[in-house]
Amino acid sequence: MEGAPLRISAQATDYNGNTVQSSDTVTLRQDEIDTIREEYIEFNVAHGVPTYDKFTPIPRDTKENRGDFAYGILDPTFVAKLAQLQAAWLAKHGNFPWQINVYYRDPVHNKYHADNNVGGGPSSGTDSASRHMYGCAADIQTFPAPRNTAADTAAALRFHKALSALADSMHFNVEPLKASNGKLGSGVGHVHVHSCTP
Amino acid sequence: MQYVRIGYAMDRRSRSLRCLVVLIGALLADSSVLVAQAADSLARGLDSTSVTIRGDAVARLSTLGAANITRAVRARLIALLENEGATQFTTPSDTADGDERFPGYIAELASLVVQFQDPTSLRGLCLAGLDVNSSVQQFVAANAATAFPFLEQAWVTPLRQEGTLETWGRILGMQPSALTQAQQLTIRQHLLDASVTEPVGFLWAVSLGQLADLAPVVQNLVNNSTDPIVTGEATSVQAAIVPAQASLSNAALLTLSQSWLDGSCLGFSGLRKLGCQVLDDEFAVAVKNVGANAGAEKLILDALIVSANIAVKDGNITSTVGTIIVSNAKLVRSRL
Repeated sequence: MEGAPLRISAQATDYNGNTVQSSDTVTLRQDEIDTIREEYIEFNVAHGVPTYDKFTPIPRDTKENRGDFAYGILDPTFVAKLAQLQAAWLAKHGNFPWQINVYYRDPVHNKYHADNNVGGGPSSGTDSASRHMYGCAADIQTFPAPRNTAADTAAALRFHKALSALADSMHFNVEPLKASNGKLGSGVGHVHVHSCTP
Repeated sequence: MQYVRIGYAMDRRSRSLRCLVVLIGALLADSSVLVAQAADSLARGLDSTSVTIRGDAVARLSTLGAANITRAVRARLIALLENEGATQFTTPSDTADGDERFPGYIAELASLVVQFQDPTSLRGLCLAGLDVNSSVQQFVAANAATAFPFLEQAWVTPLRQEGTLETWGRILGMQPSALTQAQQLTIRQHLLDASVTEPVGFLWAVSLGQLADLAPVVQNLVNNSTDPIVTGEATSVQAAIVPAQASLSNAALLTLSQSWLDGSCLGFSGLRKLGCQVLDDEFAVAVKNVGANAGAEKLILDALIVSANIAVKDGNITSTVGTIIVSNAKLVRSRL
């Protein structure tokens, strides 16, 4: 994505409004990282604007970067901790795949495109302060997937509980399961974990 | 005149400098006040009917750090968590996979509230925070006596059994527990039920509490569960509690097994209660003899094993409790 251009020139005038000196017009262009950082300002994201050096090149449309740019944030401490969670999980349940659905989302993507409502306006429910925007959160797929039967949902729920408990024990913050009117809601499809340094 | 003027100018300058120094000092001294005022200002969003605005307010407050949040704002956060915990299942939640608004906000809120280490937050933490992170469970377990009724409430709340079981495991693993004997037996009864209905949570309770006396039930799940997640969890827990099981004395193993029997018999009446009482008496004799090395221990344990098998057959005790009694009695016998 191209950064927004900013045209700038300087002009000096005297007290009578006569131009004394005028510079050439210079076109400045935000680079991609600053364009992303501006999103944090414009959306007034609660946890603040990440510093420039936090961003690294990450190919778009990958699990690491579900954002709108070719840059994103992957918190190295979180990534290392998640690797430990993966190892602990596979030591117990090596017969299941380990699939990360998403790490990073930029604020615009987080607000408008992060659910099935893609392109249809504001998403129905992402957290406006989501830790995905800081590269210290991940959504881990539960299995079986897809879930076609009640038995599939029950099995995915056990998967969710086991992985959540393991993540808890390794000092991640875990998104609790949600429900609607006392019944299992939509959260069983993934386990959201985050662990962020202040 | 000039000297006077210069002196005057120097006076003004030094006065300005003094004022500046005083001002900076005051600002530094009052920075905590400013932060607290910011917290008070941010807290207005906590009353919003919008989940997004409430969530945003909580996120901003969390960036200030728990230490900078005033007592009044803490009370509002605690009340909010409790309210969310009590009403979360009556609120429509039909968003898609990948969204995290409502629970994501609760996770942030519970993570912040637990940092206050305030016993008045226990109900909210039990109803909404036990699945969020281990520090919540540790805080609740450390305040088990106060939290006991809230954990009972969480146990009957949809989707909150897992965290409740894990916390109960932590509580039983604490020596000595702050709970009364009756409360401990109630927890044991719930855990026994969960070994059938919530095997994953049960296994985590065993693991977190190092409840090695439940090894026979774990082994049962290893052998008989048809669910690969349960089998994987059970196999892992079984390996993890081997050292704890080896360190349990014979008398301790029998006493703990007796506690599971007593827990399972809570609420029984009539013949079932009588059957439990008979087994309980046999346990008392076995514990006494094993501890005293009186010579008849093996015969007494054999009798206990026979009685337990009969009680299972007659339906006086569940097969789960029967497994605990028989397997642990056999283990003690093998050690003699």
